Parts: sequence; C-alpha cells; structure tokens
Amino acid sequence: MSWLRRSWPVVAVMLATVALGYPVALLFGLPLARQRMHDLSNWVTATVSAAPVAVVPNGSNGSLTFDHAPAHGVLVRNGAPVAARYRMSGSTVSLETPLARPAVRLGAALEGPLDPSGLLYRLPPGADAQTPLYVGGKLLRAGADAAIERADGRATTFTFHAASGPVAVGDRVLVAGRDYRAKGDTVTFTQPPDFNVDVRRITGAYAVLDPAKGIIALAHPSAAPPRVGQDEVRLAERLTGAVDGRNRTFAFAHAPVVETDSARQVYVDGRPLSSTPQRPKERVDGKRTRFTFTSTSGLVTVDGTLMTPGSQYTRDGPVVTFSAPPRRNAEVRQYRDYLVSNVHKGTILLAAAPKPGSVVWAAHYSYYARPECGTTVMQCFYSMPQHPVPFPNWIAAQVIPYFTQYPITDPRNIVRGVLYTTAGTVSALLLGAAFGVLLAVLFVFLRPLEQALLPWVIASQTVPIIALVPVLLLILGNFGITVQTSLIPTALIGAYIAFFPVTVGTVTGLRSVDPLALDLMKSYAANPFQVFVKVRFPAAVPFLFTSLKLGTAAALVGALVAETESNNRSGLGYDIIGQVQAGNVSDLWILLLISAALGIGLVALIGLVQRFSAPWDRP
Amino acid sequence: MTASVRRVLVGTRNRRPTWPAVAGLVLALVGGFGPLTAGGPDTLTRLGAWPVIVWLVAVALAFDGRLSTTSALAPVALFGAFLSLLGQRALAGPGAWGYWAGFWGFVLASLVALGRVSLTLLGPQAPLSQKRLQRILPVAMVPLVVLLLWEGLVVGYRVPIGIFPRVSDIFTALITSWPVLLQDSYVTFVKEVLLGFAVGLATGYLAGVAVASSGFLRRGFLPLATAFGAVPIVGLAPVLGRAFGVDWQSKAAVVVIVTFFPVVLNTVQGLTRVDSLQLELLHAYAATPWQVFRALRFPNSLPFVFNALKISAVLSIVSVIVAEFLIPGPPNGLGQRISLSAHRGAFDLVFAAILVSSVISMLLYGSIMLIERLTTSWHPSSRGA
Repeated sequence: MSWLRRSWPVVAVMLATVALGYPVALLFGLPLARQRMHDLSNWVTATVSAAPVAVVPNGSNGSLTFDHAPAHGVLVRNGAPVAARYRMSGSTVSLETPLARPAVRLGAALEGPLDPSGLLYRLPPGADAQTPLYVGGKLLRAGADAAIERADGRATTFTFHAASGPVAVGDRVLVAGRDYRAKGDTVTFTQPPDFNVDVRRITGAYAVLDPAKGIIALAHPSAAPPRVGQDEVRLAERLTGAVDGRNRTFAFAHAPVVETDSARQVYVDGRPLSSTPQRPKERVDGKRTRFTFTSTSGLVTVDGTLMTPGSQYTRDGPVVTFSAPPRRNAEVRQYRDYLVSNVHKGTILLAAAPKPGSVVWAAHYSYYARPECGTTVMQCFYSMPQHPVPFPNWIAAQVIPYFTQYPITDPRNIVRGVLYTTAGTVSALLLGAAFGVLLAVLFVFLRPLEQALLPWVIASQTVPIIALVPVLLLILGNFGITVQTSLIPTALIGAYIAFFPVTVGTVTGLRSVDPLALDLMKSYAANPFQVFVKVRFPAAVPFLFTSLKLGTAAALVGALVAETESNNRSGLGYDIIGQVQAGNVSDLWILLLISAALGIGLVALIGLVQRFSAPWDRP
Repeated sequence: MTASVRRVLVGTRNRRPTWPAVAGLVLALVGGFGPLTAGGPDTLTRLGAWPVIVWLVAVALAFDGRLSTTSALAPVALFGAFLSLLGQRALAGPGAWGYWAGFWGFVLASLVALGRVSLTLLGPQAPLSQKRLQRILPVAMVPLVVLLLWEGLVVGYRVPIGIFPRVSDIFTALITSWPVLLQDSYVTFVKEVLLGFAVGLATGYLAGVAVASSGFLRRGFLPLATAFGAVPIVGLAPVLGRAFGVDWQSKAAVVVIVTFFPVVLNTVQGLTRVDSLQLELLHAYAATPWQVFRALRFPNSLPFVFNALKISAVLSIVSVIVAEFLIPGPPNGLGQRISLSAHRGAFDLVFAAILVSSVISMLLYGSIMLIERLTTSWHPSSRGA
C-alpha cells in the first residue's frame, strides 16, 4: 500500500507525459499535413477532353448526346468550331440548323478478336488511343486502373484501386481462375508478371493495352467488333473571357491547371495555339541584351516575369532586345501564342487578342482535382506514411510486432541485439573501471603524477571522445580487430569514455578519508597497503559506485556509437542506424524506449551490486 | 611510494645528477651515430652540429641539480627529440635503431627531468618562482610529451596518413581548412549548442521552480528526470531528427534535452535545500512567497544551476557531435565534418575538427566558470576554492 502511495505520482506523471504525446504529435504533424495538402505536386490530376458523340444520331439534325457537359460548351469538328446554331441543355445539344455532314461517320471495324478470350482487338491504321470506338452505335468509354505495386518479376500479389474488372498484364488479358485469383482489390497471379510489365485492371468498356501496336481489350466480349468513329463532332470546353478584340486573358473552367502539361490543346477558332517555351539561341551571361528566338512574335518572360514590349524590350522579328541585360543564367523564355498566367485561377494570357466573334476553346487540358491525401487536414495527417512524432498508441501497437518479427534464432532479433549491446557495455565498463581505479590509485600514491596529469584528464573530458570512434574502429580494423569478430573495439571505446568519471570519483573517494582514521592507522604502524585496504578503499566505495553509475551511461553511449559506426550486423546501435536509414519512426521510438530501459536497467543493476557488495554503504 | 620514486629520480641529496637522466641522454647520443633508416644516414650527418649542441647542453643541465636548471632540461630534451624527428620526416622507410635510440633517449630524458622537477622537495624558504615552476612546468609539458610520442611513433613507423595522422598533419589541416572549420563551428556552436543551451536553461529553470513548489511533482517528476540521465543520446537523437528535421534544429533540440534535465534536478535541489533558519526568519518578517524566492531561494539555487550548466556544457558538445553522426543532414557542423572526413579517410581533418570542438568545449566550460565566479562569488564553494 505504501508502495502504491509512493509511486502513484510517478505513474501519474508518466501518463501525463504519454498523453502529452498526442498534442505534440499534432503540433509536429499538422503543419506537414497542411503542406502536403497544399502542395500541388501531391494532387491528383484530372483531364478535360472534348467528348465525342455518345450515341450515333440518325440524321444530321435533331439532338446530340455527349458523355459529360462542360460549363461552356462548343461543338467542334477536326479542330475547328462547327458552323451550326445549337442550344445546349446539360449534356444534350439541340441543333437548330442541320450539320453540314453527319455528326459521326463509322469507319472500319477493328481487327479481331485476336485471342480466344474474345476481348483483344487491333485498331486500324490511322487510329490512335483518342479515336472514339462505337459498338452498336454507342460510344465505348475507355478506363484502366494500374496496379499500385510495380511488377518486379517476383511479386505475384497486386493491389488495385478498383475492386472489379478483368485483369490485363502487358498486352494480354488474363483468364480469371486459371491465371489469377481476385479477392476484392487484391489479385494473386499464378505466374509472377514479368519485370516492369504493366499490370492493369479494365474499369471502363475497354482499355488501350499497347498504344504502339494499337492493341485494345474490351471489358466484355462483344457480338460485333467495335468500329472507329471518323470526322466526329465533339463537345469541347469554351474558355471564358470577353472576346472584344482587346481582352487577352481567358479562363479554364477548372483550376488549378497543370502548368507543364505538354498535351494541353487550346484553339482560337480553328488555329491551334502553342505555349511551348522557347529558349534563346544565345547564352544568358548577364551582359548580353539581344536574344534570338524561333518565332517572330510571342510573350517574353525573364525568370517567370512577363516583360512589357516597348519599355522593357523591343522586337525585331525573332530578335528581342532588352533595355537591361537579364541576370546571368536567368530563364529567358518566349511563348509563341499564350502562357498560363495564373495557375490557381486557371487563366491564360494570349499573345494577341482574338478578334470579336471568335471562340477560344480547349480540346484537352489537365487540372489538379484534389489533394491525393484527402480533403481535410486530418485525413492528410492520418494518411502520412511517416509521422514526425507518431501517436503514442501507434508506437505501442508496434512494440509486440517489433519484438516478434524475427525468431530468436535470427541474428536480427532485437533481444539478441540488446544482449550484444549489454555485453559490450559491461565489458567496456569493467575495462574502464579497472583502468580508472588503477589510475586513481596511482594518482593517490604518486601525488606529483596527479598534479601533472589530472588537469589533462579533466580537459580530456571536454574532448568529444565519441568523435574518435570512426578513427579508432578503422585503426583497430587495420590490426584485424573488427566488431564482427570481437567485442574489443566496443569495449575499448566504451572504456575510454567510462574511465574518466571513475577516475575522478575514486580519487575524490580515496582522498575523502577521515584524517582521524589515518592518524589512528599511523599510530598502529600500519603500512600503506594496510591503510589502503582498511581505510581508504572503504571510504572510496560510495564515490566509486556513484561514478560507476555515471560511467555506465557513458559506456552505453560508447558501445552504441561503436555499433552504429561499424559494419557489424548486431547490437542495438546497428538497429538504430538501420532504422535511421530506413526512416521508420515508430521503430525508432521503440528503439529509444529499449535503449532507455537498457540504460536505466544497467544503472539500477550497479545499484543492486552496490547493495550486495558494499552493505555498509546504503544510499 | 612517492618517496621511493623520488629516491630514484632526484637522489637522496637534491644536488646530484642521477643515472636515469644521464642514461636517457647517453641513449640519445648513441642514437645520433646510428642510421635513421635501414641503410640511411645517421642523425649527425643529416642534421649537422645541432644534435651535438643540444646533447651537450642537456648533459650539462643534467649534471646540475638545481630546480631551475633541471626544469630547463625537459624543453631542451624535447627540442632534441623534435630535431631527430625533423631528420626523419623526409626519409622513406621505417626508422632504424639510430632513430629509435635518439627518440626514446630524448623522451626518457625529458620525462626524468619532469619527474625531477615535480619531485624535488622545496623547503618553506624556497622562492615563490620555484614553487610556481614546480606547479606549472609538469602540467604544461605533459601535452608536449604526448604529442611528441604520437608524432615520433607515427613518423618512425611510417604510418600512412589514411590510417593515423601525424600531429604536424593535424596542424597543417587546421591551418588549411580553417575557414571550413570556422563555418562548421559556427553551425555547431552558435546555432546548435548556444541556442539549445539557452532554451534548455530557461525551460529547465522554470520547470525546476514548478517542480520545487509542488510536492506532487517532486515525487512524480524527479525520479523520472533522474532516470532520464541514463537514456543514451544515441537512441534519442534519431527520434528528434524525425521530429525537427535534419537541419540544425534537431541538434539544438538534443542540446535542449541534454541541458534541461540536469538543470531541473539541480534547480530543485537549490530551491529546496535552503537554510531553515533563514526561511524562518523570512517567515517572521511575513515575507511573501515571491520575496522568499527573490531573497533566499533564487540566490541559493544559483550555485546548483551553475553546477548543472558545467555538466551539460561538456555533455552538450559530445551529444551534438553524436547527433550530427546520427542525423545526417546538410554537410555542415563539426560532427558532420568528423563523420564525413572519417569515412573518406581524411583523419588529419578529423583530428583538427576534434581539436576545434574541444577548444570550444573548454571555452564554454571556462566562460561558465567565469560567470559563476562573477555572480556567485559570495557562495562558500567559490570562496573556498
């Protein structure tokens, strides 16, 4: 009962410390989570493409249906707006004047099926992955989901975002049951897929397996082969902005747009616009002001800042002359037709204002849809792969698996590591204590030696002896002594660190003799040895044990550092450095707790030895 | 024991040259005629008259027993040893018996001279200068002898620089890499140690005040804080590196923790171990707790806090270097320099960085002692010292 009363404050403070781990984890983790959420490079991108007609219409008038409806739509055909009057409601377009040609012309049928599964077809020449495919007058929607894992040639189990759909490896569609077994989003193959091959799941009506060979796979067998659509009408997104002959800024419907999107296609009426940055032919050396580009017009930027013609530069065909030389290695770029002026608002700036009545539209562009980690900061926090400070319960959940992940016979087992480090620490401590006591005895008997050496022994304490560990290990390695074969380096390094407190403590202890006792021994005509054994040594014991406790902590640090610096594959220090490199935070915390427990345990062990070996000195 | 050693080194009468010093010098003299390397020239032919002059001076000094002349023997013998080193530096191949005899002879002579200086019995009437000489000379000569032994052994055995550097290599590296080391010291010392030290001291003292004023915390927190002293920094540093990033902040956090716990423990001791009589006096004056703190507890805690600071000053430099080993970040800081240089075999730079860090450590320790002496000069512990 009294034990409980004495220890409950300790327990309470420990619990409070653990509880403090939660706000601390949030304090360190939330800024990172917020950063993760706001960093556009961690966002999932989505693409907006001009949609082909979903259902082949009967005539060239009436209404057309599409898969999706942009906010501001424009009917286009072959890269130019369609000259027809129409009204849009949702994804349906009602034609008020008939189209000049049918909305889509069904071309050649695809070659196939190529294999017994009846799913593989080959696209005809001239068709590519963007060509619309129709079966029975209905548009097929492409869709595939790549496996989360990479095929390394050995793994047979793969995970997908999608939980259903046929599985394709490379340009083959596998047979369920024979080639693989699927269980929800996990697929186990009977044969491991080849190295670096694409492992996909078909989520749409078909998927393009090999764009170079034009191999596609349908999700379900089809009675009639798919046919390609040609000369088709598409519903594209019109960029918003006043087309008054002066305005040059237009906005996409979705933002933020991906600035470095080479597939982006923006048109003014039938003219495709280029936003490829052109580099000058000359080096930007900080002195030159004239630069030559490939196009004779466009927008000029220096380090991402738009330059105004006239005041900041003048143009003579492809040659641009700046009024002030750009700094050395500045990024001087020219964009022929437009550049993305504001990523977050999704606006572009055209080099020339479009004429009144023209249409600015996008056939294809990508934008950042949402953060990959989640929509709230807490979601992003929970989904972080490594937390700077994990929640205490996450660490606690890892403790048992950490101890049991390797069997006790495995050298990687943590208990073996702890025992190895303990052996190293204890041998270091014994060596250091023996040397320290010897030095102390020498100092006490040879006072001049102490006068000459003790200042330097004390000064040597300020030398970060730990820093010598790599050197010492290398030197010992040159003599054939490595940590692999013996504990000697660990013991030497730990001893070097541990001897100092022992020496200082023992000298103080041997000197702390009661002068009366010395006088008494003198009157008994005791020789120096007897004085030492009967008076000095017992007096030094409490000091010796206090300094041994200090020395234990030092020896443990020495042993751990020796293990981290050596190429040995055992010991707690090796585990620590391994986890530093692997970066598993929970395991690092467990190792911290283990090493703390080891340090506290060893010091407690010294206290126990003290109780039994020197019963006259009860602390 | 001291007496028997004194009998050998100093002799029964103080004014008598004794055989150890002469033996060392004779050994050195014989070595002067021997080859420096196998088949190489001897010291005398290589360095000309210098060894002879040094030897003559040393022998002359050895035959005079006075303290002042004996003390001059040690530097002269050291100088001789350095001369034989100079003769060796440019030669190829390990040293032959001539080199070793000269080297060990001079080392032995200087050690004996040092022993004689420190063992000579000075009467109460001896001049102050002699007493001071007896106290200072051995202490000052010890590092020189150690460095000489180091240099002589490494040079004599032709140890390659990639295994163990010579002392002279270290000083060369110190001079040539001075700007780099200065930058590293700035990162390690100012950014990491000083900042961490200040934060650790401030938070530690505040925590100490809180713990001292609450019996609950004293019972619950103190055992944990004591146990924390046994937590190896090797386990702690990687965890802090994860939390604070790999740059200097995580190393400063290591220093904060290393400083925090000793300061807390000592502050609690200093605040609570007050003279009960003084406490009663203040109580009789109806002093408020704040007044008790200002007039009694705070001044009483200062020596304890300085004690903690002295412990953690040394500990924090070592811990920062270990932390820099374990949290590889941007390649600056003395610990990183040591670790990187050791891995590419540049041990001269390793030792130069170690030298710089120990000088910093000593300066930190010394300045804390200075501040302690200035602020707590009234305390018995400084008055007694």
